[in-house]
Amino acid sequence: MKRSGIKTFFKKFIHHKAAAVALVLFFLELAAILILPGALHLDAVTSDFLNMAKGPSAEHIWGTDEIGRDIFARVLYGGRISLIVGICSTALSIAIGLPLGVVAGYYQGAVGNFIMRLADMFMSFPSMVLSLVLVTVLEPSMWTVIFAIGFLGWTRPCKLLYGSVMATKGREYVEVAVTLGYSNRKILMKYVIPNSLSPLWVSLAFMISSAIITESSLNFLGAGIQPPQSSWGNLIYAAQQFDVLTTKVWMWIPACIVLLITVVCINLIGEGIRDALDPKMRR
Amino acid sequence: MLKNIGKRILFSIVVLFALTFFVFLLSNMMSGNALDVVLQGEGTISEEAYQALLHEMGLDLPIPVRYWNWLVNFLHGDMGTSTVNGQPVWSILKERIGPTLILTGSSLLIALLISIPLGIMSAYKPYSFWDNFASALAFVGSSMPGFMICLFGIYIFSVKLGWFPTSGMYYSNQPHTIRALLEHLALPAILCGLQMTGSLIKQTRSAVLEVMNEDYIKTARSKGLSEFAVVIRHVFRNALIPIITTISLSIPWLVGGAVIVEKIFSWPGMGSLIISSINSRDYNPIMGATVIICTTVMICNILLDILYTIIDPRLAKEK
Repeated sequence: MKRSGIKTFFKKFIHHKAAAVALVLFFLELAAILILPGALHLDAVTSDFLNMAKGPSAEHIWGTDEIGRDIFARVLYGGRISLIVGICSTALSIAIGLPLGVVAGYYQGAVGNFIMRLADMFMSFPSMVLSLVLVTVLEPSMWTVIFAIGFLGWTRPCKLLYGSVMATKGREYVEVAVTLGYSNRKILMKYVIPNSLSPLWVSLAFMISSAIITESSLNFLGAGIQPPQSSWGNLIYAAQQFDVLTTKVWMWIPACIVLLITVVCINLIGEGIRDALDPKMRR
Repeated sequence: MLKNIGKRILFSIVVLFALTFFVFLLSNMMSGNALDVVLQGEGTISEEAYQALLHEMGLDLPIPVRYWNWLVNFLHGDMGTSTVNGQPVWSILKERIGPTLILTGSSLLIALLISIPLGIMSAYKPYSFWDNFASALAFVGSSMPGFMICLFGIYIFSVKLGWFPTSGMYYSNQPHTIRALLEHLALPAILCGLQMTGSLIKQTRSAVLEVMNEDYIKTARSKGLSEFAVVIRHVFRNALIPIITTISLSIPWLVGGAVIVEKIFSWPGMGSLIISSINSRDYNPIMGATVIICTTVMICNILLDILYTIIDPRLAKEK
């Protein structure tokens, strides 16, 4: 994308008011997650034994958990983990799914057929159960969660690229390149792939937000990032205890709300990108 | 048509074998084995006794051999027994299938009852109140993680308002009546159904919008059909194909998403069985549940394929 292209894109993006607000909000949150823990010397792992399972107070503005760790600090540190998981696992899914989708869409034939059937196979089984088993096999930690979500998420970019590469392949300029005798590699790199990426850009944000949701869901099922390390998922996990759910709401509601705000912001940014790239899809 | 269905069934069987092998491999690679879990808290035993027990349980064989043994037994109708309580897997599964089908079936029904009328309404009158309401609901449905919808739902409707029980399928000390079942079912089914509405509303809306501009709709109107007949008989029927595709894509999700709902509501279904079996390294129930889930998903997909050709007879001729 050239400079002017980025400018027009941004202008169109800003046009979607909610997306613009969401972008600002998201950056504010990102800044808070990155800067505040260091600036305020927050400690997410040390227990304050005098204030265990206490509600919000001057000392701990969002209260403390069962063993006296500061919830505010845990939510901020957890945000780092959750965002890293969201971004890295999406990157991994694309790294696996993009080449496979391109190969399947461009060459088709037996290989393409095999890849797409493989994708169908992965999609016919609830991925939550598979990733749960995968994380348990690999011992729960941040990197295994990233691996499990990223590895099992390859079908989405693969299907998207398959469709768009097939469409691009039929365009005149690709036919011209074929007639000119360019190598397949050059045609793919120079013409097909760059012109097939827009569906991926459109769903990039949704992939990140759904990875964040999957991370927290996995954690909720007991297979995910383990304490003392915090993530939004393992903070909300506390709500599985009935007394936490009913009476100690400060332990799980902050993480829920921050997670919700993040996912809503990312999804709105995604809608903004979609409208800016493809005005036809606009609601 | 028949040839096509035959092909799909064959393909499904191949997938079933591949997936069971994959799950078998994964679940046997989990750290610790069933024996460790059984022995937990029983004190230490000598190394020889441990090896002898491993041998007795067949856990000392290499994984491919164990898969082969499992497969042979499975094809003879024997899914093995649970290592935790010694019950045959089939009798465990039998008790779990019903509750899961009740939960997922009713949540699918609720999702359809909410999203199809809303989707049609919002496409019929774009930018009206109903359209905005539907898109707001769709946005919430697709942005809010399932477990969060459930947590807030329990907190508000069970804890604060006390309308519904918080967990289980029946009251533990009362007879199992339909009324008790419905009281327990209502909240999880509604919350699980709500999670599905997001994509369904969006899909219905765009499919109906597309059909509304077709020439045959103008024809139907100009020959004086009532608006109701136009919308239901012509618009909706032609918009059904993409809607059914969305439903079929969400069937594995429905079984997988139900894992979380079942866990939160302690619903005694397949999902909670899988979770507890994974935690106790109890391989046979995991495999049994895998087979049941895969088969259900595949049968549903084949049935939907047949449904496509009933709704749109042109598809049958094309193939």
